[in-house]
Amino acid sequence: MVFIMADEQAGGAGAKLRDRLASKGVQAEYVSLENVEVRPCRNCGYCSKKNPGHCAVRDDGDWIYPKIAAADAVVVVTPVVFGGYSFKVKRVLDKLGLVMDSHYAVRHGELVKGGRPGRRFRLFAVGVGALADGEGEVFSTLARETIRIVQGLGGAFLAGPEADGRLLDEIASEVAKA
Amino acid sequence: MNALIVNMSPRAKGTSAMLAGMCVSHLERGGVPVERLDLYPALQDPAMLYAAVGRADALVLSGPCYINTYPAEVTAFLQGMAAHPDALHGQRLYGMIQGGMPTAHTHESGLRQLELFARKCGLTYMGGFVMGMGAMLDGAPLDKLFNGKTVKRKLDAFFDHIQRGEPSPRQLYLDAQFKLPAIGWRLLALAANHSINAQRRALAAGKPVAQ
Repeated sequence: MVFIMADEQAGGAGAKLRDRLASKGVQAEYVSLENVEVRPCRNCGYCSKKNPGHCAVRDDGDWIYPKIAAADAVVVVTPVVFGGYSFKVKRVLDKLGLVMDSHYAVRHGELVKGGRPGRRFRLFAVGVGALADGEGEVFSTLARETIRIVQGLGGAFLAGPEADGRLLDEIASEVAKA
Repeated sequence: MNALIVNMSPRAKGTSAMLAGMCVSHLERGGVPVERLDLYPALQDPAMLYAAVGRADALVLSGPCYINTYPAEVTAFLQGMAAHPDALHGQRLYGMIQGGMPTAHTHESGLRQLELFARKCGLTYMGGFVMGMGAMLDGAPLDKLFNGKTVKRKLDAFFDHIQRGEPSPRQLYLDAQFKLPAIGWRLLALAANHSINAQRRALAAGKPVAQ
């Protein structure tokens, strides 16, 4: 199962991607973040020290994080905001540690986190919008760093403001391969 | 010159706040008028926040690294500033970002986003400072870091650049990075994992866990 979460400011690219995946026989669950509220991470230490893997706050994270943990691949569809994720997408990603192993490991001579328990996390970040000079590179680097820190797989894709069909097909093929 | 220093962490007494406080003290000692705000409460009062931005000639933004860049609230802040062009008049912009992992590249995207923001909104990006292993400090003074003395020296140089209105080179914080051979990191990971496991065992046994 592929879990797609999308900020609707990305012009409906998330739903289009779900349809492309379905046409390739890949089951995907699509969640629009339009009416989803994940409260901000307050770095209170509850999830790391008092109740590992659980947030102290009750909100839509209660059902989103289990889906992220269970998915074969997670696709994040976001407008690119100053080279990063949108506010709504970042609110969800800020608590990604809830579904990751908090132990440390060393990979390629550098300290990283334990990653997803049991199997490698697969993350695909799709950035949508008209990009300023250098913005695509910053977005791609940001996604790659996230994948690296959780010892994951996946990648970043940049779609123009219209997120055209050919590119969505390419993304769907990459996700399907994962 | 007036400087606005913003602590962009949800915690008023964490490591980002400590770095912001160091910056405030340094600039005040140098005779720079400084205003300091905590972002999370300030976002509840946008008129006050953007008026403070408008009064400043230099903005120094200090925040934690959540998943390789600043937290979501910082995106809201940057978008808020972009939506208040009356508050923006080419200010010099400096960033500080700190996170648990020791490598600069893990956190550097935060600074690159500030640079893009500055370019799009007509501000002048002047550089930043990345500090690894910030979570280890939990707001305590820098001397608790393995490389505390080096970080302090480089941070002072960074604050000097802010005071003089100069750009701050990337090499400054790269030189402050704590470096170990892979075997050193493995030992450190082993020690950290041992501590996490001990904490989990204490939790399972219903014993109190140190915060």
